[in-house]
Amino acid sequence: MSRDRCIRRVQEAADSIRNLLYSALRGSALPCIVCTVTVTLFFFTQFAGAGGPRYIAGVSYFNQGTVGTPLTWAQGTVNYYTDQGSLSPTVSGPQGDALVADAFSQWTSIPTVSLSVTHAGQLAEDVSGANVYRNSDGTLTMPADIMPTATGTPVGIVYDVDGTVTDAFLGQGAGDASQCFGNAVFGGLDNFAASANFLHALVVINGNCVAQLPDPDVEYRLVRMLGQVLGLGWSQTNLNVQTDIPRPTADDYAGFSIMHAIDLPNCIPITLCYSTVGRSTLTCPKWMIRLRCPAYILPQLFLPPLLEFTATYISRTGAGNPARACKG
Amino acid sequence: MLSLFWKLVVVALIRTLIALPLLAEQPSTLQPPTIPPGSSHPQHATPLTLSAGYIFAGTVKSIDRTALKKNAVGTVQINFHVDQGMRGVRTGQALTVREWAGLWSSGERYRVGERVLLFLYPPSKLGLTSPVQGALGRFNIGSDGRIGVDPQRTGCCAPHPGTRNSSGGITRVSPAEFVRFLRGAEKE
Repeated sequence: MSRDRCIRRVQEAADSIRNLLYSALRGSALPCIVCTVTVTLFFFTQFAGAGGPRYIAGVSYFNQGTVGTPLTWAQGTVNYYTDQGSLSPTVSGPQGDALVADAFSQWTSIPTVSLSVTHAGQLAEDVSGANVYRNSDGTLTMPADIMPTATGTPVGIVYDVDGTVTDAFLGQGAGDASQCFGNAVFGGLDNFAASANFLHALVVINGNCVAQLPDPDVEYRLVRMLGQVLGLGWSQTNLNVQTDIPRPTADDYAGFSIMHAIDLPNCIPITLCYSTVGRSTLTCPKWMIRLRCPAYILPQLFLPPLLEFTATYISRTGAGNPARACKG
Repeated sequence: MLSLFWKLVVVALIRTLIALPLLAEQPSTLQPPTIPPGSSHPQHATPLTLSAGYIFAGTVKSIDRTALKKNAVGTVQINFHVDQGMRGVRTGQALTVREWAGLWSSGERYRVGERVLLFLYPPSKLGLTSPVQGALGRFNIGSDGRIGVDPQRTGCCAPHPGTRNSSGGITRVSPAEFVRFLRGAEKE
């Protein structure tokens, strides 16, 4: 059985059960299922509390002994390679490298996390719309070192200087500056090892969305994408920051996870919704502090609820004791 | 000793339980949160229709994923039945779209039988497309044939009698009604 088919079958089985449970939970019947799920979730609180690992090893593709474990980068080591070209017409490649390094540091600087991220070099080319093309047989080609099979360049960071790469992958017009809310940064993990490790990820930064640095909106989206690249799923923690139900407190803001699934479409710029602007009694979310949130007062400089992250990339000081590590 | 089948069931159950709390955050199931009157959040519609090459309500008929090859970009082919075509497609038509496989890994997924209202970019030179503005260009259609819309946030659509959700302030409208509203709002 091919790897793709194996993964697909496990996903389909899980989706079916999930949908069944969800349907049951939405209805008034089957209280016993509710009880069972509640009790069982109790044993998975490190995952359920604030999102969790995005990928869990299944039974058919992955090695014995890895089943049920979260997928991570091997040894907590991530080597990334950046594009040779400019990030945008007005932002150079080295400036882009600094942006990426700063975004990665939002994760690596978490005190309880043992994660090593290295800018290991540059890609072999300036990736652009010119070297992403369709062949006569209908297959699609792009530079070999950003393909999912390019495990020698495990994380490729593409600087899409004019939006043409974004256009090519997401659709005509997707790379336009008017589409930055959804498409400033896209990509994700695209290859997995049987050892329950990630093998490759691709991240594309749309240069049409980066006129100058610092740009909190783009870095915000880049940090979120890198969170996915590191294996994190979405979080539901303190969504009342978005819904206003109940009215969020300073603690809610401080604990609002950057890994929430979507942003309200009117949060342009992003600080409009997540900073102290217009909310003089509230503090800035912790994850905004290092993104130059305009009026923060909290002194702590690490990202918010990351129980799942510390559990996944647990630090040496907390090894073997997730609860201890999570307190950090 | 557990059989492979039961191992699969157990792992799927574990995965389900882990994923269950995340249901509401999946782009396919998530409607943007409700914002009550008086909120400091600004309120205006998202420009979805202006960038869309395809707008339609459809049902996913099948999904084909190309295998990972050494020198080719992976894609996912999604075949829809167009239940109601509003731009670029006709009602009743079979429509096949291709998405970059990396999007599938990132959570932009479909299930066979799923009904969605989609605002899709025109296909690129690679023949690929995706929902306009990511998750914002995709709406789940319920069993009543309607989508959930928050009038407070979008300004869209007075609630139909009996369709307003008392807990979330969501009103349910037909895909065509929602698209008409967006078109009107974006022209202004």
